[in-house]
Amino acid sequence: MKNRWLPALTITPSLVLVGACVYGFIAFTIYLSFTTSTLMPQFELAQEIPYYRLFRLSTFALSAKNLCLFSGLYIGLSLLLGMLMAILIDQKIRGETPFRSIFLYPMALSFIVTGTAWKWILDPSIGFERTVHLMGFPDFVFDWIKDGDMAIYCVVIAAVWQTSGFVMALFLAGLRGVDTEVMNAARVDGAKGWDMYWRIVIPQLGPSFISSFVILAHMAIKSYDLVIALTGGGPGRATWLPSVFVYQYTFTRNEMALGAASAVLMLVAVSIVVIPYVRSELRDKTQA
Amino acid sequence: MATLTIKGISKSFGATTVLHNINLDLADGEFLVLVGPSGCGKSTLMNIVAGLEEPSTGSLHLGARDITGEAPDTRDIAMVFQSYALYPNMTVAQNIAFPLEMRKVPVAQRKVAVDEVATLLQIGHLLERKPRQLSGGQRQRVAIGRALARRPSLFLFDEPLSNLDAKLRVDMRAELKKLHMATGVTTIYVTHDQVEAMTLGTRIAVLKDGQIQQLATPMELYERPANTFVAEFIGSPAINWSESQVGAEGQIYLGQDNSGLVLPALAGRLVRVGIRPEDMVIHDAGMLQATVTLVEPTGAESYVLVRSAMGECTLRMAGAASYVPGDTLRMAVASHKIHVFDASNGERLN
Amino acid sequence: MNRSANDRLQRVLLYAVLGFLALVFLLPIYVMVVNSIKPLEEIRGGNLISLPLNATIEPWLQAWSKAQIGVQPTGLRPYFMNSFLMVIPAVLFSTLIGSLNGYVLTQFKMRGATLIFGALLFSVFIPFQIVLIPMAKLLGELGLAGTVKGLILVHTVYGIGFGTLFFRNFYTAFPHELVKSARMDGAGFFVLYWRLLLPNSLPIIVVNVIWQFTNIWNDFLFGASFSDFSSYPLTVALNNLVSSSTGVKEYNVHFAGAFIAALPTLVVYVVSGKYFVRGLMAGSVKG
Repeated sequence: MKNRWLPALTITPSLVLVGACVYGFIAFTIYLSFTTSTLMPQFELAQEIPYYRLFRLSTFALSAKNLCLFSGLYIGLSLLLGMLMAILIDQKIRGETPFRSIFLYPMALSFIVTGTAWKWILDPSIGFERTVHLMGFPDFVFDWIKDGDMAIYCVVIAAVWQTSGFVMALFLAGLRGVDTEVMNAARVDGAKGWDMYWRIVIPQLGPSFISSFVILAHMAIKSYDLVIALTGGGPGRATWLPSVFVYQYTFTRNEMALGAASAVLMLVAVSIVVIPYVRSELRDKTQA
Repeated sequence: MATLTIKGISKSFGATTVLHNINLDLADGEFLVLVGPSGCGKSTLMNIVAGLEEPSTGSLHLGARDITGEAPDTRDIAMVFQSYALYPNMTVAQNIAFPLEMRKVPVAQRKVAVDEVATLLQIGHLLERKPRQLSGGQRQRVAIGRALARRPSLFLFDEPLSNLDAKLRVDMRAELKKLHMATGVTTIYVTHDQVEAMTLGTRIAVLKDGQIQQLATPMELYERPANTFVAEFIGSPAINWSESQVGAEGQIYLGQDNSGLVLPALAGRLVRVGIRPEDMVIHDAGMLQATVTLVEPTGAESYVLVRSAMGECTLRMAGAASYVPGDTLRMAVASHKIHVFDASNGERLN
Repeated sequence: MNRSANDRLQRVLLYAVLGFLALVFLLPIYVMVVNSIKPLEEIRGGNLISLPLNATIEPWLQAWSKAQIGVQPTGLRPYFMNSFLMVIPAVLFSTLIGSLNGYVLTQFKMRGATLIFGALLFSVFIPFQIVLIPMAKLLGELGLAGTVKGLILVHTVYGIGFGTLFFRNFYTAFPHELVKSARMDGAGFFVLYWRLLLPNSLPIIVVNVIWQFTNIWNDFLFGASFSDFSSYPLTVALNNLVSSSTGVKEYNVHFAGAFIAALPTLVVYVVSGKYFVRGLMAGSVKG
């Protein structure tokens, strides 16, 4: 075909744009993370590798620790709640559509909106604590969002609220994809109720688990908007995550190299989770 | 070992009735085939017997027990599904043992049962594999093994061979028959393939639109079909048809030629006459003249399509046919091989 | 029969749990709406879940056109416009580019097609913090720093991955016989795309539009990094409104503002129903 070059030509702009603005920029930032950049990018390599300075910084250690805590709880609770909601909805209930819509609508909201709403709900002076006081329990305390040790759990609450509907949707599709004849065979073989779910249905939900886990993990690592809107990173620095660290150190504290290094570490974390997943997706799809 | 009595089973989904008043009595050890075109209700009947669906009316008795209201697992019935329905997350051994596990059979006994079944079906070397690693034929054996391991009173097969390729289907058919002879378990087998029905069943129930058209042995079905549907459904190539009016003295005509068959009781009636391809014999003194339109050799036999006063017919003869399209020939048919049916309701008249 | 009494109890429990969860999920939106029409004294004096005694739309008016955000007291309106001006071209471009890419990757034998797709797919997952600095530099060089046009460029580029993902998966399932037959009838490169594939792509176009619209409208990071006070998108303006530490905290205005920001994507969600779900699933479920 004399237009053999047309397909290649058509995809070239995308390749150039993505190649430059994604991979090129990543390379640039990786380079920066070894330089002396402070306010502006410098191309001189730093004497002491910024990563070493990074690991000595207590703010970074706090961000990393918060990330582990946050991710673990966020992923675990979202998976549990999402799977529970999917199983409940799968029980041939009436009003399935409204329930599904209610559990899923938070996904349509910006994290800023979610953060704003939950910020005041969790605020002790006008939110939950005050409501319970007014109901007649003046000694009730719920000021996690103002408490340096507990604030991160507030982020977990808001985040789980936002995305467990998504996990539910994935598991629901997985549940519905289980072959009815296999379930009939299990009925004839004597499996009922809990046995049926535990031995037959849930083991076939592997792909749903994996997809959910990968998406949740990558969202957790990238979490930024929600933290900014909900706590602004506070109280103090109590809810700092690596994403907040990057922004703060790059633009406010003029330590661009450190910010870049933190960003690179975020990329590494995401890659560990996502690359195996992308590879298996590609293998599946090309075989189809 | 048990008998199965199906009495007055009907099933409706809203306004649509899928099964009308089905009555069947299976003897112990019988191999009953339910055959019919898609939509005839055979799968629904199977599901009702298995307990996966509830009948709208009627009852089921296994031996002396009334199993009509019981859950699938307490009925002592095992089922082999069309898609085999193997549990994808378990090994072959675990699949076969699963029903025993659900019945709380001790581990040691389960292993013995699995090994026995594996030997019988020659799948011992597959026990640690997962279903996705098996071929179609192997999966089918595992499905049968899972059903066998329970030593049920009744076996249900739902079109188990339809997902296999033609050659494998023929091989498995023979194996299933041998298996039945070895185990002697009462069996209901559903298929839409009439060749399978004929070769496997001790008796066949032909279903159409939720009603049993005829319940008989294979040869009875073939030689004395109860109505035009059964006559057409069983037998390949299909039976040849001709419509005519019976003469004043009861002469049965094929086209305009007298067939030689006389049935005075049917004088003047409009009838459909059916003759099977192998019963139309080429004979120089035959009563019907015909022109050859097509010759189809299949190796062991040939089908010769002709046009005659009867319309288009297919003849079946052994070996190679030396005819070419355009040739003329004469055909004859023995009187006792002519099937006569009422033209309006299709019921057998002779 | 004992069996059915037990079943009924289970059913009641089932609906009770679902109902409770539904209430928890609806709580924030309810709080937002209810408190956005209360006068400030009521919020401070009362509790968040009570219905307003003296409902007023003043907070909404404040949020929309009078609140102080950045330098001028303009309310959220100009920033709402910014978001629209940013989203619409970005979605259009991303649909066009995504569909062309999907077309090329699936209907032509291309060396490295899988690798290209993999590279595009991976670009969706990267933490965008890592491109902030070089992108800021690039926008500066192009003279697009702090402009809506700059944001359009940014969102288009980083939307290529998802767009390609949607269309590529959709076109993989497109019947090959149709394409072969069109080719044999003489259809060339663009005719195949424009007359055969694209007209039959409505479901995935809808999915892509919904997904890109929602993501770009809801974005904060790029908005905060690449815009200045004249070109803030709505999310950045909202955050400015809510996080200002000076003066009285006007909760009702904050809630009204949040709801205004949420409205477009909520409307899209409600109207698009199953297409929204398809978009969610498209990147996630295997096979």
